[in-house]
Amino acid sequence: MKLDNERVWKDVLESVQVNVSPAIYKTWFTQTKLTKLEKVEGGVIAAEVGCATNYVKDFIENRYFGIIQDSLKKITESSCSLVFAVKQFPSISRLEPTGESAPLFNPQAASVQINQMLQRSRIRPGFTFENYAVSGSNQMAYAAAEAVSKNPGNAYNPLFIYGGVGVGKTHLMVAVGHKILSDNPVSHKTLFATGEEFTNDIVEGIRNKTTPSVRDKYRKLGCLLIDDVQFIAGKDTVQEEFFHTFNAVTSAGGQVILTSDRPPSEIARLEERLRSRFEAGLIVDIANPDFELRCAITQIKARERGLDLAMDLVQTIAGNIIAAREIQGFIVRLASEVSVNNAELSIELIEKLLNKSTLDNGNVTIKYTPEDMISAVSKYFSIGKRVLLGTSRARPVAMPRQILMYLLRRDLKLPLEEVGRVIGRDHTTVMHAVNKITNLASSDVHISEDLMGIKKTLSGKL
Amino acid sequence: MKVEVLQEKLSKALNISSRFIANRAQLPILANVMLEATKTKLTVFATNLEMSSVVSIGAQVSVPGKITVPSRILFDIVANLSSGKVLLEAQREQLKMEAGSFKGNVMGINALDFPNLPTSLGKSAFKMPQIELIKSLTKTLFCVSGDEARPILTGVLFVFSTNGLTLVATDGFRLTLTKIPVKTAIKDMKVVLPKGILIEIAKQLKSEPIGVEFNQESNQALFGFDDMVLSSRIIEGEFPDYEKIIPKTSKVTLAVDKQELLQTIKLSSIFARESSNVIKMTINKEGITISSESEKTGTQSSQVDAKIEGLEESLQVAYNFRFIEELLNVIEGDLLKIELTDGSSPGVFKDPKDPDFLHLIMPVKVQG
Repeated sequence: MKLDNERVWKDVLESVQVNVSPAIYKTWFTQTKLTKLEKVEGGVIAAEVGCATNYVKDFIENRYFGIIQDSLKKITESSCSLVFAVKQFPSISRLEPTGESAPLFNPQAASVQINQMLQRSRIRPGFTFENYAVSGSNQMAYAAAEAVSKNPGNAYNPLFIYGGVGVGKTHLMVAVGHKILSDNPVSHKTLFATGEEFTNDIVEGIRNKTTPSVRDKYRKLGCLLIDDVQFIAGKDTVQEEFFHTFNAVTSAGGQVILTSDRPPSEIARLEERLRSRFEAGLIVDIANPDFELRCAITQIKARERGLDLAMDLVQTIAGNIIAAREIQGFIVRLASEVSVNNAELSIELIEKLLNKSTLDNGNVTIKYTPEDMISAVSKYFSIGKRVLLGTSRARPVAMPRQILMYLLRRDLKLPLEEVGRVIGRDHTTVMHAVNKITNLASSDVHISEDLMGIKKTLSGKL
Repeated sequence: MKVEVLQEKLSKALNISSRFIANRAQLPILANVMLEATKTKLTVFATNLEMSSVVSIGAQVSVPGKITVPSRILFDIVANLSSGKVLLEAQREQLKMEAGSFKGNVMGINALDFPNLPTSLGKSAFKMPQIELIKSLTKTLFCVSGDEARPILTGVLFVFSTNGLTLVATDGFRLTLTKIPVKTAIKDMKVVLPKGILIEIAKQLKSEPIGVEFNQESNQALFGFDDMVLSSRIIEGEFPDYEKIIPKTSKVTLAVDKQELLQTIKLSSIFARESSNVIKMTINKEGITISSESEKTGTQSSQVDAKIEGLEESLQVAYNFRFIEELLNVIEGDLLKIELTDGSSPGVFKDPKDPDFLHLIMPVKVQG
């Protein structure tokens, strides 16, 4: 019979717990452990109980010897001899004083300092190249950013990154700052600010008459990162100040990286001299993530949350959610569902949450009526409305009809019954259709293309 | 139990005992002190299961016995009594008190549930000179880590060897090493004692030698004073190899006036407080320039004269100013000797007045 110390001791403690008050149990017994348990001659079991301090050992030995021996006897089903010893638990004393918080004993690991520097530069530690997923839509921007981080000030100056909401502009920019800081902390003083913060600093400087110190803050930098630079457009003094800052930083060999939601040529009311300077460097765009990239993002985010997602689950998520931030939100919700409600990670759970998350998402305004949707679908598939809403169950008609039901349910958030009424079908039929398309959206490229196409038709029409 | 004691003595004993009681004891009896009357003594027992105190005072005992009462309440009552005789009488689980016109009844708990505490030292005890020990402790204790995640650093390492006793404390950022040239019975032993008990020992101002005993088997250290026995657990584990990290060589040697440096550090701390306590020391031929800056409040720099040897090109090194401030507080002489190699390896700080003292501080890595 193999005896498992931890399990045996847990059983013993559980039976002891019944006999003593909770305060006594917590004070004395949580500081004990079974350190030795072995069979000696004659079938007797010798057990050694380790106690954290001598006070604990003394007390338990005098008071609870009998109770412990009794329950040990019952659990191991043989007579026991019991000894007590003072032993600190190896799990506590084994913690090595190396690494982050003891630089004296590990001079190489200076990560504390790096973190402090990141904080001073206002760079978020989580955004690095390592956790940035690359695919066709952001390949170019990634390559440019990497080149800049290896050779700041020389490769592309300024680097101008633009793209829609949640495509990873800021992540990429901050990753460059992170890399520059960890490679060469001394010569490249770095600062991350949003266009709005820059504006506020200037305004504050003017109001408090401290413009020189604001200038000091920005102009002496070795690397300036401005997020959402389009916010300074239309503000004359701020643009002028930024112009001089830009010149001061670049002429001293510093690197400037900017992000915006549109290319410089499309930023309205941007001064000509700024526009020409922005255009002098490299302008790269990041497009919306494609399906493969969304899968990669889903995996990265899931790993950060400690979730282990199978590939088919990843694809279901990536196939149904377009924006990267939404994916993150979904993973958070999934993780909390799994840890709080002990739900099992399964395709059903994900489908359930997908429905919920889109239904709960109240801030998306409904712009389209069911009629708009019907005409968009019929236009996209070139099927007459009458046929689409008719009784034919031929595949070329049935599939578009199911897509229509999916869209009515998911995008217009109509109740199942209402969708059924519009289509002239039972609500169970609608449920079937929605589930089917949800599945297909992740596995069938054509379906997801169709969905995108219909949405384009819709927005083009309005 | 029925006993008469003097208020001054009882108050003193309770004062010491109260520091051995856990602030938030889960078990009610651990918030209590145990009073025990035997022959001619009243003994006060207190413990927080990390360390314990047993203090005896002279008393007139009519009925021997024992009882436990809440430490806080008893301490507050006795501290506010006027000096003179105090009568203590245990009646079941209550302690009846009388002093002058004062009459009180304190609810207690039966003493049977109180843990056993060591009341005397064993045969292997040895004597240690108190004054030297306390002096070394005050120079060492400020360096001890408060980080419970690494228990081994929350104590002071005592290294007994044929040359005497060495005390080492570190929090991972700095390290203090002091030596006491005493001959003890133990020739070769290393123990790590928790900060708490050492603070208490450092508070005892008596000139007689302290009795010390280490009990390896029960992992306990005992300290005997003439009317008091303190005990503590010994921290188990491997203390980091401090000898390895003490730099053997150095490039630059500085000698600075302590007062001047302290004043300058205090000045620069005003801005450093807001930028994670970092001050920069730039060393060149003229002396040391100490500067600090804060993005919000401003910048400063000031010059300190220093005797500099071995400087080839100017050297910059940044420190947490608190570390230097705390170090300067324990320097005895007027001068501080600093030995540096470069901006990223630990600096060695020495007190020319006390050759047995050595301090290391790890510099902070800063940008620009």
